[in-house]
Amino acid sequence: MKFKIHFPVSSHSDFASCVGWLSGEEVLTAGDDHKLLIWNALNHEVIQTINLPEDLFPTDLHVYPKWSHGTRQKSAELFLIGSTDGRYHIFSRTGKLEKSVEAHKGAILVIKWSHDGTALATGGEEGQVKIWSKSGMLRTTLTSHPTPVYSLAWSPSNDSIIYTIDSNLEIKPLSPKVKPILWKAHDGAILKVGWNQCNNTIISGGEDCRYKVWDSSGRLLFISGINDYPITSLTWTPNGSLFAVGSFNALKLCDQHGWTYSLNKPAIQSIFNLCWSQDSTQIAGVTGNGSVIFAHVIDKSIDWANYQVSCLSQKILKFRDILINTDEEIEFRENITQFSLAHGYLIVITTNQCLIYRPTNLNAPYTIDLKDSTVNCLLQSSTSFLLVDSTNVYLYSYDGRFLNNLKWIGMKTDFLNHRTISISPETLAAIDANDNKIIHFIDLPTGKPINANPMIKHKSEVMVVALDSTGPPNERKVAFIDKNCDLYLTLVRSRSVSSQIIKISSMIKWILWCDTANMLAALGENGRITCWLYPQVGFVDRDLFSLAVIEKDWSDNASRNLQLTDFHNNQLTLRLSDGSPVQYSISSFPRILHGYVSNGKWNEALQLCRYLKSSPDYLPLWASLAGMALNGHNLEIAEYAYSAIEKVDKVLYIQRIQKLVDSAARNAEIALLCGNIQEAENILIASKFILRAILINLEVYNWDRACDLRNKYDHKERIYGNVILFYRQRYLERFDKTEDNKRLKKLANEIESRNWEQPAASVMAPSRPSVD
Amino acid sequence: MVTQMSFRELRNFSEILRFLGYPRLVSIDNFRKPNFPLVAEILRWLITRFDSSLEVPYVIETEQDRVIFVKTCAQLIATKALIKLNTKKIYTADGHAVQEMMKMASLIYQASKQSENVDDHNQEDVITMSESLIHSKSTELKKTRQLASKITQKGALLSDLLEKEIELREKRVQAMNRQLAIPEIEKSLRDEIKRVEKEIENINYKIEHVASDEANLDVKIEKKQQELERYQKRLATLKSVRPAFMDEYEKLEEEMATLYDVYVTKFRSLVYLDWQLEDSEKTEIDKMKTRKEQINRMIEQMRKEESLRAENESDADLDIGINLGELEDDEDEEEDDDDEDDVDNFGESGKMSNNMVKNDRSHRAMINSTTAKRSETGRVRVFGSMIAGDRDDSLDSDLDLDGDDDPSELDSEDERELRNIKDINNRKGDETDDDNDF
Repeated sequence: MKFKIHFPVSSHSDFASCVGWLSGEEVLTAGDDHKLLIWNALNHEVIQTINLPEDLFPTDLHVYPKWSHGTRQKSAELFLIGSTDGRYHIFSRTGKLEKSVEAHKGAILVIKWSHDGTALATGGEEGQVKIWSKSGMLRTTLTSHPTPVYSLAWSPSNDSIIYTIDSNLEIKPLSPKVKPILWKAHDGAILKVGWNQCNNTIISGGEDCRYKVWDSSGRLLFISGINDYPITSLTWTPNGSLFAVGSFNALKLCDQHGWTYSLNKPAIQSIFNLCWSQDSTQIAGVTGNGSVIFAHVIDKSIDWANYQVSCLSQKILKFRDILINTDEEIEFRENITQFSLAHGYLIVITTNQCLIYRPTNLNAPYTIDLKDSTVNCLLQSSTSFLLVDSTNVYLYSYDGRFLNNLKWIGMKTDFLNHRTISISPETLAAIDANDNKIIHFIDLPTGKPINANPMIKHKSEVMVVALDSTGPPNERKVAFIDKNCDLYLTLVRSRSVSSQIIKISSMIKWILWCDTANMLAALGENGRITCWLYPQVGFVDRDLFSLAVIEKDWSDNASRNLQLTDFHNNQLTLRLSDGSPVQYSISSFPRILHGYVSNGKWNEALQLCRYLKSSPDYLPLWASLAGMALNGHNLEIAEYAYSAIEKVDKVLYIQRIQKLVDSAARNAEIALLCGNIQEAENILIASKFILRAILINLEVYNWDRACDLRNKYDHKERIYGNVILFYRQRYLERFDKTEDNKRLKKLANEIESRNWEQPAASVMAPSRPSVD
Repeated sequence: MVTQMSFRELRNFSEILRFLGYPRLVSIDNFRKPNFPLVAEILRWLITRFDSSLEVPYVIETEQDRVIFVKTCAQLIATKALIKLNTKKIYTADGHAVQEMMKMASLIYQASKQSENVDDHNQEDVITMSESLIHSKSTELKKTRQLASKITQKGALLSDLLEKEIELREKRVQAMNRQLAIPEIEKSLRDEIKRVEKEIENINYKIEHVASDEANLDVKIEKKQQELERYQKRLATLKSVRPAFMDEYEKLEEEMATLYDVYVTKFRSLVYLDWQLEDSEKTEIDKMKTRKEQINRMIEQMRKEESLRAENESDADLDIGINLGELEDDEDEEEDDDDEDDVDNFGESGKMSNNMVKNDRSHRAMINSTTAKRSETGRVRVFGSMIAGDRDDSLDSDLDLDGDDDPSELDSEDERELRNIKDINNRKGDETDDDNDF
């Protein structure tokens, strides 16, 4: 990936210091020559020149974040200019000066709208940070230091601000109760700081000629080498995948993890400010010699299976098939803003259109006209894809048919990205934008929340959500990482009423589901990669969960910032901290095993596992097979598998289940084997094995439930009551306790005849063969 | 302390210094607090930018030194760049000093920026100057050189003339000063008139005589024309006469043609005969080859027979000898030819064997020459006129030096055998020859 830079002919006659995008096509720049220029970003020509007052030296400019959600008005298209006389000026989009506000003593060095556009923050040379209402009323003076505030940035949730104090950075929450975080970030004065809304990561650059990447709690993620000159500007792309760094005669394009894609050295002196267009493909900058530069990102490339797509210029895509070594170039009429290749489809978003290609037929794409030119997010599943524009979430099929316009509570389109939303063939999972603890589940065919399980509420904020894309819909699982980096797994459409959430790992940074088999890969905090071969096993037999795992430790490669980028078939694509991609392939047998089991070829699956007796993946494979067999109610295979992994107790239990004749009893026992008491009880009640149901509850000491069942079904000469009391008595004797449960006392009084032998006889009834 | 303008000033100042290539990076914050050493260093650096020959005493330890330093700097700048610096502000060494230094720095900055632009334009011009332009320029150059030399010539002439001017001026002045006497003028005028009248007379006289001249010339022309006619007539008569030797000449020409025809036919037949001769020789050689092969083959057989005979001595020599003799004559020839080919092919590597063969052959040839009948003389001749004969001789001589004994020993044995064979061969020669002729 690299920048292609354009230099417009005309420019400012003096230092230029401010830049901002008014829309997708218009750029605003201002300089010390008291001119406000509006540029056409397509042909790089000046559309309009607005003269500012002679005494106004602009220092910073910020355009109202038009794409933000909420109060949307026409007049909202405002931009702010801070000036050296300590005032800031609110302009309407047409360049009319709406209002000037006296703000600071000394120059205003930085001015920023909050992401939602309800407030603005200014930083002054005298060291104060002030928060203002949208209309220009002072809300608070957030902080006051003796050193100038060169830069500040709003947090993604607009509840705190990061700003510079000489060589330190401080994150200060707006509410006074929360403690601020202060740390020394650079060796010299920090000139610029940025905080991305999507990935919640902070970048800073200063006069020590370095730039650094931090997480939201101030932990260092990346530190650059020493550049030749101080870093005078740096800025995130709106989607958070890249950032640009400007210095004296230098413009760098960096990945979100800090490593550099490309370096350009145009002779333009220091780049004082940079601003990305909203689609994250273009950047505009202003420089010390007054020139304005435009650059767009080219050479972006995506690999999937044997295909590679790369963007040669703004309008040309190159499509390469590695297997037959063919190159094909696709030329578009409009600029490409985004493209995605997955599940065998290439989707290209241009300014006004969405084109869907099949790799086998690049000549005849399906075309969709976009209602809104800004596509925030593009997600693909195997049957459909999701387009998120500035207001709506659309679902389309791969033949270009509009399927649904999805809506849910707490939907906020600018919050949606590949972390907060996930899509599988028939389900969508999304984190609630207002309350991050909630995950919503949407049924895609209907576009409505899933009836059985419309949402789950987790105990802490959810950061990343991911749905698996293979397997039957009723085994659809969602994996999510919460704020504490713990990884959880739950079923979306579970059969039982109470859905379980199981914690499967901790210290997890990133997760990926395999796109062809039901496998989950997770990247740990310390470079440890874990791959669960059959996550469904967590709902079948928890004991197997820790067994059906392949692990790989990358910590020795000194890769603090390892990234997991792709999981296709058995190939994991990783990116090291220096940006180099690494292919890591796990064993291909789990995938084959999945293939056999999904086609019902149990014997082949068994043969495969037996064949791999000497392989290191032997145990995980057997464990997976055990889980699969149990999940598929194939007891014979399960018995083999359990014996292979030396779970004798399970083997014995399975052997006993196999002796059962009644299918309902069998299913109940399997449910019990899976630890699913509720389900087992339901099955038994449905097939009228009431006593057995009661006994199950008695065995787990669930006395109240046993009494409920007795009250409901007891019509056989109070046998059930006797049984309950018998067990209770034994329990009390064993634990040396006296009766304290009122219901049982009452039951005891009701039953006069305390004949212990009778229940013992009834225990021998054929419906409950498992009690000793 | 912080002035309203300072941020922008500081930022721009550090940017300008960066652009001008100031050796260290200047932070925006450097001038927030007074920092005299830095200000002094930048000041000195800026002054050397204006004029690299300027030397500023760089002593800033004490207050007095600093004041002196700032003053000298201000003076230098005032004289060199016509910029007035506020020495007090510089002495504070903070944002105010930056404002002062900014005056100097921006001047250099603008200048360098402009010169950069000019440079750019120049470069562009150079780039756009095409080949043809260079050509036209070179012709212009020639022209200008010529013009320059002309200018010098004219200049020299002009200076010469101007030198005369000094004398001329005197004369002119004299003439101007002279008093004009009327009678003198009258006299001179009359003289002039007389002179002119004479001239007129002269001319009139000439005009009168023009007619007679004309007549003279006409007569001359007529004479010449008559002469011309006469000569032309004579030429025509001479052309009509046929010379006496012409007949003879034509006859000789015809004869010549017939003779040439004869010559051509004779030459052609000669060439044809030559060709036929060559052809017959070639066939002869071919025949010889085949015959030699036959002889060689026979010798081979003879040897075998010999060995057989050695075993059973009692067998009759004569019978076998006769039988072999018939065969051997053919084989011998064939083998010899083979050997010749070998000589050609082997070259150096085959020296030894060739030599042996050669010697062998020469002996055989001798025997043949002495005892051979009419038909075998041709064979001897062929041996003598062999294609690679010269080279073979030289090879022989080489080998004589290397090892005389070996071939002679071998030869002596072979010879004896051969002689036996030949004897038998000769006896039956007539019959074999007949066979070979086919």
